[in-house]
Amino acid sequence: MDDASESLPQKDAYPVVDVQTTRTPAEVGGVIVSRLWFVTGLCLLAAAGLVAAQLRSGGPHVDVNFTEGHGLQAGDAVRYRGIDVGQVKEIALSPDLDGVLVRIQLTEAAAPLAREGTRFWIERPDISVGQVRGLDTLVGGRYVGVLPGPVDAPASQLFYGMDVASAPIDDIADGLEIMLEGNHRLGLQNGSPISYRGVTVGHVLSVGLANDAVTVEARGFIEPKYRQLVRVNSRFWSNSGLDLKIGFSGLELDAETLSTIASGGVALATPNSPGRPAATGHRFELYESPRDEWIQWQPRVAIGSAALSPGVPVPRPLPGIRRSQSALAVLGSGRQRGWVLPLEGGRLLGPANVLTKADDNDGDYVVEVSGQQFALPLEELVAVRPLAVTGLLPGKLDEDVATWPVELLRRPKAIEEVVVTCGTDELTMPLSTQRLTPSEGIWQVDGNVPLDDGWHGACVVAARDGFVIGVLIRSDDHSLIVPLADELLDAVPGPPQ
Amino acid sequence: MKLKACHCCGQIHHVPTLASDQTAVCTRCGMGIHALPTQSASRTAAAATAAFVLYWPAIFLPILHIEKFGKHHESSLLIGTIELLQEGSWFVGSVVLLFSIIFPLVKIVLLLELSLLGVLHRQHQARTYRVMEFVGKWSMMDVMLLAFLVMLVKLGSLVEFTFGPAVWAFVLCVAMSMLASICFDPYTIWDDSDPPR
Repeated sequence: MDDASESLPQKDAYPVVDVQTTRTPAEVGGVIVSRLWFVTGLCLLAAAGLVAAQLRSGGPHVDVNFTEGHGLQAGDAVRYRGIDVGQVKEIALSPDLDGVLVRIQLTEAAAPLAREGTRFWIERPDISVGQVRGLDTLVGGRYVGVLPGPVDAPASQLFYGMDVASAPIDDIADGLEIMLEGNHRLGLQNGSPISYRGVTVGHVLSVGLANDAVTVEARGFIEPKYRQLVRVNSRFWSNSGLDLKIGFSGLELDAETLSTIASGGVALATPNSPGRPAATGHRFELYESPRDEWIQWQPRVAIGSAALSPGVPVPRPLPGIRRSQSALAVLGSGRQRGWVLPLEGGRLLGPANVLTKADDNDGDYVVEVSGQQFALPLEELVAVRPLAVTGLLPGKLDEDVATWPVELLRRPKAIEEVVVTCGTDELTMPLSTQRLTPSEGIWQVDGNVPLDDGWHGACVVAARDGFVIGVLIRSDDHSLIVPLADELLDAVPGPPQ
Repeated sequence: MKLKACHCCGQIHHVPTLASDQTAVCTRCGMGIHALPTQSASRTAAAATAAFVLYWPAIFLPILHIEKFGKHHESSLLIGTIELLQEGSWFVGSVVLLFSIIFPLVKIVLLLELSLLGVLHRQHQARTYRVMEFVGKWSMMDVMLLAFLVMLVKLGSLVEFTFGPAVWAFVLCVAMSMLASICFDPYTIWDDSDPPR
């Protein structure tokens, strides 16, 4: 006890604390403020940022009316070109019970999808004899597919969803819609392929009776890249089902693909003189079977990548005639027809035998271009036979003549895909590299290609970039493509800088 | 000169009046003896305010995006809890609601009250402090974070899920509320200014 009482701390035994100098806390208006308030400020910013990001992350809301929900749920994706561009936020029955109202929130990047003409549909499995589509939705849940409307369409908030199971045709606006009339349905149904030489170029959109029930009408859609194949003279026939012939030679079975057996199909052929391209809404008769000559038709029509892409300027050469003024010309030998291309700045590019005299014996001559006669200044003429470029024309061409910009001329380095054109759809023909044989700087065109003397002087445009790279020359029943030589290009001064 | 015990080792010292840039240090263990209570209160207030601000985005913004077999699901902490209750999981739902949503909020609010409202009566402060201590024990926001981590590790291969923006608010909120409770010095409640009864 004594020990304990002795060890009890005395009042005086308490030590005095050590006093250390510290940093002075910040003092604001007499109140000591911790530096931690700085962190508070940062946290406030972070919270505001998160909330703002959340509120902003959503693009516009759109409402889509569907007749059928097909098991769509809130939270399902909205997809365009295979990626998510939005989300289904809410699904409600429409007030009058005859539809489903789906509220969709698009992502910010996809905000331009909310414009008139945009189509929505609920992607779901679609398994038919002809095709199997939307299998990913079998396990992966439904999603809303979307296809944007025209670029310049005004914005819209309310849409009517389509009742198709999977993607409708893309760029329907660029394609060709035609009407086929027949006496019978001939096995056609929605989605039946329309084929050209067995290649599917479009499909049937709908089949139904005409208003007066006299004929069957099928609406056909031709894909944009094949629309040049459909001309006013084209013929359509049904190639549905099997064609079984029993004759002395035995049994003959004729069928296209399995899908045409099952779902019907339409074939088309275009005559060798195709006529002008068909416009949307053109009506064609649908025959039950093709005539033999239709099968033989082999027109050359520029399609797909062979054709110049839309928007690329097309050279419009003018028909030119060289008339010799000498006495001998009466016999007609002094005349030479051919296409000449008016260049920007007032020169002509064309075959040498149209723009210059045929030989030294030949005397004066004039060149008549689209009705105007020009006496060409001989000294300025540059001829790299068989091509020539004239000097400046003494007169002026008509105002409405489309001249070709000089900077769109170039010399090709090797043979390439070209389009030969005289400026009109009928006189435009693609030539693949297989049809061209280079020899001594000139490309010889396959003799099977139906080019006649009417093509003399036609412009040769590179399919790749739309430059004029040469001129088609007819000589002794052969077609040659003569690439532009450097001397010719030097003869045309560039545009004034 | 007044007497003050070290919070760490209990050594009692004489503490002289200190200037604003001075601090008292225990002679035995070297722990700082808080002589500037305003500093602690201000710190606590700062951290608690930050936690309070972050709390709302943490529970309202979407915290998880779950995708399973193409089905999307997105939910915030609050909505998720409500869904749990709606589906009839009363026990789990109420546990989560109580310990991860209500208690953390109560703790933060009480910390704010203690640190900002120094004018409160000492008795009131003491009571508030005790409530705060009790609630703080059961405020398990940090445990929730662990649950998310477990989900990430265990379900990563089965279900595709990503965290929403609320996770950042949530993590910061947890950190700030922890900081606030560390900074809070209960000894400031019984300052010498009030004579003992």
